[in-house]
Amino acid sequence: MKTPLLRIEDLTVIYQTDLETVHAVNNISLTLNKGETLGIVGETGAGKTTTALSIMRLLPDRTGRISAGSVYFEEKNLLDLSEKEMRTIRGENISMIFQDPMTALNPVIPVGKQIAEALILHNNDHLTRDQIEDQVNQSLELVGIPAFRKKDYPHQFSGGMKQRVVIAIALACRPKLIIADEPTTALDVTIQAQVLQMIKELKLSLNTAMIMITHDLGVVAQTCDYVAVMYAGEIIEYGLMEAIFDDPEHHPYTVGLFGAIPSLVSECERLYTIEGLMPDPTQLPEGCKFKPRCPHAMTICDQNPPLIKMSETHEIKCHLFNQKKVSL
Amino acid sequence: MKLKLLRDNHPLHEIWRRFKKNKAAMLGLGLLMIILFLAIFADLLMPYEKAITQVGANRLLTPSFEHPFGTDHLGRDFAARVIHGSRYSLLIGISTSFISLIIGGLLGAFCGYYGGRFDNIVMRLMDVIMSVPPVLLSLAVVAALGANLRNLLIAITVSCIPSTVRLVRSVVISVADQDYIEAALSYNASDFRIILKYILPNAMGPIIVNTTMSIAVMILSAAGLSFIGMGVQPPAPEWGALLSEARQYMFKAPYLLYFPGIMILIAALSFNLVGDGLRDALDPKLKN
Amino acid sequence: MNENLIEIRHLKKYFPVKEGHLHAIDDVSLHIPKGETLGVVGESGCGKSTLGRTILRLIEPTSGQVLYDGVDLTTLSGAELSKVRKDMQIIFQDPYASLNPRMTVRDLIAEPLLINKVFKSKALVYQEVDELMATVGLSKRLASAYPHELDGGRRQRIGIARAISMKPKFIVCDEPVSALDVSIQAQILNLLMDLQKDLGLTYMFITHDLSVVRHISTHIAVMYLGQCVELCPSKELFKNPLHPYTKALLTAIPVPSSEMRHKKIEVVKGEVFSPINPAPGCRFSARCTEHKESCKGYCSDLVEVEPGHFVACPNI
Repeated sequence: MKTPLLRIEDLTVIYQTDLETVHAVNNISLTLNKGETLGIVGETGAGKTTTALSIMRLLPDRTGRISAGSVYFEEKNLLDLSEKEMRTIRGENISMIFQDPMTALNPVIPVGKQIAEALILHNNDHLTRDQIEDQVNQSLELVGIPAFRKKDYPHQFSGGMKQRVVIAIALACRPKLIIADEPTTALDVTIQAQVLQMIKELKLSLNTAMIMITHDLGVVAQTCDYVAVMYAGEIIEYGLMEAIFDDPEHHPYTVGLFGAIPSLVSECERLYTIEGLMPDPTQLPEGCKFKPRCPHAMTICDQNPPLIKMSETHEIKCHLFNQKKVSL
Repeated sequence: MKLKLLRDNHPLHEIWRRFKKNKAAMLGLGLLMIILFLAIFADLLMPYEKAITQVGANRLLTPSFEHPFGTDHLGRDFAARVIHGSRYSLLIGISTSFISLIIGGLLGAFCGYYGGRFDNIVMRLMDVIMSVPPVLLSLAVVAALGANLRNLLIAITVSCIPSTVRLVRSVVISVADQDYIEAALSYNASDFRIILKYILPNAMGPIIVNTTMSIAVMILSAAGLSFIGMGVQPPAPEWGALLSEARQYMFKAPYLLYFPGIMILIAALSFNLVGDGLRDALDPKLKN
Repeated sequence: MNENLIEIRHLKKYFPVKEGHLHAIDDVSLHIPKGETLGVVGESGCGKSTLGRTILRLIEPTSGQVLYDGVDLTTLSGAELSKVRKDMQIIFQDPYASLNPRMTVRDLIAEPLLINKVFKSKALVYQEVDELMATVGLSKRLASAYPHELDGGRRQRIGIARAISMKPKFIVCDEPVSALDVSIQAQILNLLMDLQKDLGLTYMFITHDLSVVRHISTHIAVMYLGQCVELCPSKELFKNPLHPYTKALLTAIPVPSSEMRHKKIEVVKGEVFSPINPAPGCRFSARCTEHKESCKGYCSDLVEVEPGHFVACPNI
């Protein structure tokens, strides 16, 4: 069996303030192989971004804390590394694309320089200045921006172009893993389509693994190989993208999530809604976190449900499928 | 506490919680409380007569049990003078700040909300006032109107108004841009109501901070003007005036300089510390 | 057929900028029949939000007419305008920015009622507020809460309660669900549709999300750079889109279906260009796959190609 590129085991993250403790991520495990794309789907406050920041070890110093678990990148536990070692991992091996391209770029430095900076910081091959310039040009052309624009400042680019620059910076050192946190949420649909198509092509040509964090199931369908659905800091369903979209059996929350999107194809009078709200992350319910909103809640739901293997490529964390486990 | 008057979930509770965490600000608040206590209960602590009664035999006594701060060149009890002086200093500092807050605040709010020609005229006028150094401006006002407490108040207030107008105007402009102002317009709220109920409460944070800090500046400039004889007139015991009188006996009775000097320092410092603490507590970016 | 509650004729709004004029709305003519929902879709900067605000005269139009029930709003002033404004309300995109953070939920909803002196006593106003809160699904115990204590969905419910408090006939919904999570978005959309049925409201629903607009609208107007390029019943738009921009928009939506993974995403080339001093002629021509030499300089007006289906494209 090949070793996975990234393996997260029992990761638990809390935010501690003087008033309360927020349980942002609760005991999640994930694996990701080279060249694959994992989509993490969920609503605001589900813990998607916290998971990403934990992998990068970029949680806010004063409040965020990884209280348990481990993150193995190429079988090295990132949580054991020193800050200095971690800095060589960031950018070189793992890089991140943030949601808002408007604030991710430094407004007073030309974009070419910002890309070059990433290269210079991780200049292990002792490239000359000309070689670095070459790489900058390549990176820009890779994301579809003519190289002569490298002297332009961020404000001279439109939103979609800025996000391309951000992606170019992320790709500059040819990382093995890219974490994209809602990369197209701030963009218009036609521009989103351009950027998604570009990401798809780049992934094929560079064979980079990717974690795509989004709330948009349409984006997931277009780009991901595997999907993890998060709710209240837990992964409640995980599987091959086709399994999540097409299998008949799902976690009740996933059913709600799909039902809530107005369809472009079929007619319906009322949208399916999940009653209530996401539980308060400072006081999570005992057992299944979705129980208070779940239409199928049972007494057994007071106990934490196990992750049940529905098939080789599909897992659900719900007591509804306890029978299934026995029969398998 | 006064905060108990508010609903439990009122935003001020959160601010108070964050303010309490700031040790320097709490020290400032403590000092401020002491000075306020002295000013309010000055008559109970030391009768005013003691501060102005001249006893020839007691001239320039060093601090003793009977006269804790000693006596001045006319034999007046210096402790009584310093304590009663706190009334003048606080009165000047607080009243000028509040008058300039009201005048400058209203002008600034109207300028920021309406903009246009009115804004232009007012702001250019403020530029003119600001181009004159504040001490010089106050001096000119006092020189023109005569040196007494009322004119001192006017002089200091005038020199303080432009900065208040500028601050309030800029805060109002940023608040007026919010969606809830547009919402208020859509259901027919009058401009007056919008300014009073929507803009000012939301612009209050920086304005309160600025006012608190400006009280310190006012106390200092009042002391300065009195020091050069253009402010509160003798025998009234204002701290700046006390310093000025004590200057002549600097070598014979240096303690006469220490006490008013230290009081001025403490008063200015406490207002500044409280203002700093308020600014941090009001800044949502520093939450937690 | 129903008569039109709102009729917009040749509405223009130019903002003066350093380089000349920003054409936020450029000669838009639309109509909304009573009791129906007109969806306005387009990408950011196409002028859809400006259009909504200009109709309510929160922004003064440069020229053109807005007829409400046959009365031209652009000529009204003072008391007359205040009277009409009671009939027209707006729900904002950002439920965080559109509520005064210093007011409690009860005061927020009561504010329009107090200002317009709908009731004689405060007690009656608060009674009405309680009823409004029940209507939009806010529990009574939230009455003395402040907006910062509530989540986006509940805040948007406050915005809706405030908008319907004056018993308006027409509501501009400016991206009311864009800032919300999908499950909350569904709750709010259902609420808006229920209210429309119960109160006989007419909506103008501004959004960039085509799946939302398809769900809620009876008619759809597609806007591009200040101009309306296509206007038709919503079913028709999805079945038979005619304008090349509409087609591009429809293919660009990521559909949540597993067949999408191996499909190439259809991409329109280029980006929306600046609406400052635009060149005459079709504004989409630079990105258009079907554009011809004749598109330049052609002044695109909406033309009725099929009954009820208007398109502004020289090639159709």
